[in-house]
Amino acid sequence: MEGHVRETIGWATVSADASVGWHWLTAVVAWDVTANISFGRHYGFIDQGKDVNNLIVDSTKGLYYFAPVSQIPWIDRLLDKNPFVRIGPKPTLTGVMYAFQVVAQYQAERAEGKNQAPVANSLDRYLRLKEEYPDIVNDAQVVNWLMLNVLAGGDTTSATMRAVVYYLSKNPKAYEKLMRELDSTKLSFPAQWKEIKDLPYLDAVMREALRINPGIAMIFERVVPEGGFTLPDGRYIPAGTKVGMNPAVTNRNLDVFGEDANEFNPDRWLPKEGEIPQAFDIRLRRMREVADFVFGGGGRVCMGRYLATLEIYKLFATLYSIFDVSLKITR
Amino acid sequence: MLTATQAGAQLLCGALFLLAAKWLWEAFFSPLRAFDGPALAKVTDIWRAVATARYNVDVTHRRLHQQYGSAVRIGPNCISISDPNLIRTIYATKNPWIKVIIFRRSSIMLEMLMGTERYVQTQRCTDQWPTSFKRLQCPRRRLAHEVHASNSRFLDNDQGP
Repeated sequence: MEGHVRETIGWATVSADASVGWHWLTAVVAWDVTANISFGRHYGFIDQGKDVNNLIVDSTKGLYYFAPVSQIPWIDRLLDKNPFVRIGPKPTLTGVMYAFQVVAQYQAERAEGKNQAPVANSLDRYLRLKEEYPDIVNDAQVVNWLMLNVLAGGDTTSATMRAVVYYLSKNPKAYEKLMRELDSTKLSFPAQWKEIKDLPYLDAVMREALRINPGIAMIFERVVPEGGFTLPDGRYIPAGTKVGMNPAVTNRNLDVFGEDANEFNPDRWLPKEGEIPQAFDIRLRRMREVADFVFGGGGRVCMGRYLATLEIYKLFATLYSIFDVSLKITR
Repeated sequence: MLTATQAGAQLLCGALFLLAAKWLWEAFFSPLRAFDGPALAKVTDIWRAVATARYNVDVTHRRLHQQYGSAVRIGPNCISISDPNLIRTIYATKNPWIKVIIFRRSSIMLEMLMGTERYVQTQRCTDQWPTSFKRLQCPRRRLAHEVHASNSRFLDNDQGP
């Protein structure tokens, strides 16, 4: 998997030049990485420099619909699911059709004797699964599985990447510190995980960007189980009530993150001057526990978490070690 | 004979009566009456759909928690919680609290993605499938396995392509 990530990020970096808007570049890297891992090829956002087949625009439109509707789900029956006039986003057909096409092509190639050796992408693995269990897995199932990767790994990761660019541009001090750290480290191209995983300031910047701008800044709703739930303050919530937390709320908790919790300050992830190591360890562990909730928690925790982490760290270590990034005032 | 005005007045009275009854019930009997929140939230979820459609619902949630404390009633049957100590309880690994089913009639793909109960049930229905396949077929488990396995591989031992 890391090979695919490296390939995409390397390609993005050589394709990047001064004319590319970085909000755009970082947004499409997430999409092309997922495509590469899923299909073994890029959607082509990086190569063609545009939103191929409007995949990203359509996906965004879907979110504009699903986000409000998720707050009052029955209204979906009046809008998107009513039997008369559909009021809702265009189904993500382009993406699905693309996946079907890729699946068909890959199978045809296999029938011709190509692609015999196992390749480390989801498409290859799922199709082998289909050959092994033809009565259970069909093409539609393979496409469903593939679309899962794509839908889950696109918007959220790219939102995080754009946050990194944004906050680094707005905070010259943090940017300078990161540049100093990257300049003093010898990195391969694209940067390898083992070279960057212990860079303290890179880690601090990434954690801080995720904290201040969680990929999903909404409440993850759960149902209170039988027996109800008593809050620490003694109030009782009966079974069947929906409860939930929003990482955008917990991530600004003053007790956990300090009085400046509303500001972007990567230094909070590093020992303060004169801080006792044990005290720092406790503070850090607590901050990590709470900030990790951006990926959700428990049995339904984000499965792409480590992939997203890998992508983001690699991308920014590579890009920022090569380019000087600054804001361009366009007005 | 009933004039239009009288009918209108009666309708209005009826509506006011219903509102008053709802208000009294909320004030004295609702099991969630201990939880403060925006006035509209007691009656409908529509307000939070509107707040979400403005794309800054995170700001709204932070403001509400500042105003009303660590548990805010944000819907007729919904409480938002801000105490980070409760993350492990509400999002437990063992006996997890079930996820609210959001798009019941949507594609099974969306449900897989969101991990809804219907999807979990369709997965349970496959008990007669061969064990070796079952281990592989559940995409969530399969992917988790794959990600965690390759995670330890690529995070510790990234040798490049």
